[in-house]
Amino acid sequence: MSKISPHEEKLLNLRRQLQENQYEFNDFLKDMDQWENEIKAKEQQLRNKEPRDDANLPPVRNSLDKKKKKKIKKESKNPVTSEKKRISSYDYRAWDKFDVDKECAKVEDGEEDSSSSDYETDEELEIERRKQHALMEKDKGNDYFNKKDYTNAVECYTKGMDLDPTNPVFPANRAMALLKQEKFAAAEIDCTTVLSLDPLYIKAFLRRATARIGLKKLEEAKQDCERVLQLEPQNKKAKQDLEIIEKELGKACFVVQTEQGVTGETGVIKPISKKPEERSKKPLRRIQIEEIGLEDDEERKASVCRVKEGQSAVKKQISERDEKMFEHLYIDSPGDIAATMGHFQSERDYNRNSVNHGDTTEELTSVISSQKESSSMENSSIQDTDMSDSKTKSGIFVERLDLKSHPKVPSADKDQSKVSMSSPVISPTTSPRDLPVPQTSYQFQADFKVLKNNPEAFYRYFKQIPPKNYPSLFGQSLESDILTNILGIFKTFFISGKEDLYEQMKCLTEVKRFSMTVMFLSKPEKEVVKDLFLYLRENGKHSSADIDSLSAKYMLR
Amino acid sequence: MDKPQIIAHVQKSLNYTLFDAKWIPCSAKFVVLGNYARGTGAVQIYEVSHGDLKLLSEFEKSKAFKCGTFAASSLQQRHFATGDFDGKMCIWNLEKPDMPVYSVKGHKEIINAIDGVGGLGIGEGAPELVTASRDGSVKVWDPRQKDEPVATMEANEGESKRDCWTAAFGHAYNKHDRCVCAGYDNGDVKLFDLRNMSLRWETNINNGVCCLEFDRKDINMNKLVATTLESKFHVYDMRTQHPTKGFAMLTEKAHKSTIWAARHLPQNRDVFMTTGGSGTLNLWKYNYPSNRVQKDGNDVEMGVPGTLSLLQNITLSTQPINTFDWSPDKEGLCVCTSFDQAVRVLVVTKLNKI
Repeated sequence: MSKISPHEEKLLNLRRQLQENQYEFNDFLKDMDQWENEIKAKEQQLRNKEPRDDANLPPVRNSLDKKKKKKIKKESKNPVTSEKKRISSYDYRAWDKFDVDKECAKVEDGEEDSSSSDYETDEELEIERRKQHALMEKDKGNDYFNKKDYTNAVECYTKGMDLDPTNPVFPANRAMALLKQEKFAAAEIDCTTVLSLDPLYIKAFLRRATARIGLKKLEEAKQDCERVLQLEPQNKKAKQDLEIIEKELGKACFVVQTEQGVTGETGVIKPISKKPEERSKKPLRRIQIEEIGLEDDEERKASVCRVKEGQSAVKKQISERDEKMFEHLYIDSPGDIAATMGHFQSERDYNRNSVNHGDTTEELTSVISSQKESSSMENSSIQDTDMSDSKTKSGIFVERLDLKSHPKVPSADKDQSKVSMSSPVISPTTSPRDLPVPQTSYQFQADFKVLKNNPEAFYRYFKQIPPKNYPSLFGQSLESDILTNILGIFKTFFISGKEDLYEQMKCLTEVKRFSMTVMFLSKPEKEVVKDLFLYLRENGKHSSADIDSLSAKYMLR
Repeated sequence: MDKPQIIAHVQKSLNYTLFDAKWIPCSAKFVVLGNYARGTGAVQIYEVSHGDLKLLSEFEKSKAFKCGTFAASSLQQRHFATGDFDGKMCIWNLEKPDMPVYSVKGHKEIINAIDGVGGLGIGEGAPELVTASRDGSVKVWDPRQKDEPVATMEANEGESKRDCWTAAFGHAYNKHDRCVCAGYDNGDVKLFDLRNMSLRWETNINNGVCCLEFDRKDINMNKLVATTLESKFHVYDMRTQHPTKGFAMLTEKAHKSTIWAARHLPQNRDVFMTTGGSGTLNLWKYNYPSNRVQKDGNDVEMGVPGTLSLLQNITLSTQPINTFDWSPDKEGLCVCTSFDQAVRVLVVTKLNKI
């Protein structure tokens, strides 16, 4: 064996090391192949495992004191209140400046002063906590409901209502549970509560309608259904209910008519017997009444004469005086149709009177009916007749009662039919002045449906809306037909009225998905937009740079 | 003689810029994130299979992805949280990538870094994500809370906002304690205590902080590595905080260029890899001093820094190695991405003999 030089030894070592490394690496790779298979099996196993239960995780960080933090932030913006902010325990510099004597004096000076704003936040927290609790009760109630355990469900919803009286969901759900138990009266009350919290809660209307059908309050049920259909014309349930109601009402009407046949009182118009709070709140409408039955005038006069003959002297006196007054009115009143408005007014006044003179109510009602006949025939405004004192009035009504009961009193029936026929002709559009400024996207949509065919009304309505509200009002849904309508009114009314519409145009662009809607505008609509920008530029109230950037948003170039 | 070897096992060139690569826990697969030349975001999933890389699936989204992590998701779900160039943080179910399971526009500008804790059985307490953005804010998110961060750390009004480059979780050794450490472009390092919602410690290391990492997230803070723009990195002993001197620190020069990342070996917390702007990788071992704590003149405890030994170094590319990730399941298996648009699977041998 020859001696190995240090150099050779180094080389050998290196070689051995390289070999070792190679081994090591090969081992690793072999190991890894095996590991790859193992890990695949493990992964498969993992996938088949049940998902982990997150119940024992701690709550979301700062979720409880989030409100508090917001409050503090607000305070710090306000320099006056920020002084009172609590000094954190680690803010030593602030503590250095803290004057204990001053603070003590302050505390002594006024207790109110020292009451921290924390109380308010704590209260808020408490409310928040209660709301959460209420929602839990609701979930529990829903579970019971699904199990058809309505008694317990009602209990849960009641608890929820106690915890969070502002949420309409609880009474609405309770009403449903009560309906299932056929407790219609309670359900009706709950629904009314819901509607006082949220007047657009469609389900509540439907449930109240069901309850009212159960209670045989058909007219009111019908109103509820109609309201639903007004808000949501496609609502199937409302349509079905309405059908049922109509059927029931048809039966009821039939009964009434046969009764009338027995008594022979044809053409009697019953006064509105509903309580004031249940009456329709809709504004009075103008109903055109055609003049008919004038040819019967002679006949009528004759009948009046005949009646007069059979009256006592005193009565004659009274009636003569009355006649004079009437004559006066008759002459004064112009024969135009507008007088019918007064006619309705008078009817209402009579109603009021009928309340005042409780004992004469029934007689008065017949006066109304007779008055109605005569007034509509003669086109006279009888607004003033009810001004006369009750004594005179009682005279009148006796006389009129006679007049009416006379079999030859004509045209009452015809008149009646005319009124009822003409009423459906009048379209149910409500005056735009009555539509309030919409607060929710839903409200706007409903109003838009009513107004879209009436550009002028829509213009007035739209003008009321502050442009800043657009993004919240249109929400996710600036539909192209709405935009088209808006642009239309911009063009027809704003331009002709020389009004500035930059603000409106700008705020429209802030609505979500606006760019999407604009993208799909048709050519004529784009022309309208172009016209609008032409007008804006001519107007010269805004810098051209502003208008340029705005027109870019409308995808004009 | 028993030096670990770093061996490039598989290399694959891709057609987009790579920004992050992460192993999918409990598998031989990893996710690569990046940015196509047309500005869209790329996500690809590869599997290492017998010395080869198999592309399993890929998807493309409208915004380029900058960073991602699995760390806040359970092992069953393995949802992937990403931060993108638009400031949006999304969580994806990689099996159904059409829609994110969680999505929030958390920042006004690019999210530079994301880290998670509480998932994968690492770290106690709730799953949380932290995002660091160019808009200067660091936000902590809980996937159970929509839209709003659970904590936000940003400059006071009026103070200039610094570009935040990195953020990392640590100290999550029980349900309540948790820290976030954030590094900024001006060299600021800030340690936020999430339990007290306060700034616990801050320092400045002169150069922009590229990467911060605790050696472990789920233990009482032990060590923190901070890498910088100018070829220096710092190792802090986080066990002992001195009221004035802070944490004991040791500085090391390496790579002769930006140190892009430092990653601790999951199987041994005292070994970590640093990646350099010159395409190099350095494997380090931290040696604790004989006594980690000593008393100063006033009888207050202060930490004692240990020493570092370089175990191995290798040059892989001419371009910076921007990210590096150890496989949590197989010791010595790792993946790195580089600006030469290549993803590399590496093998480090003899790690168990250190």
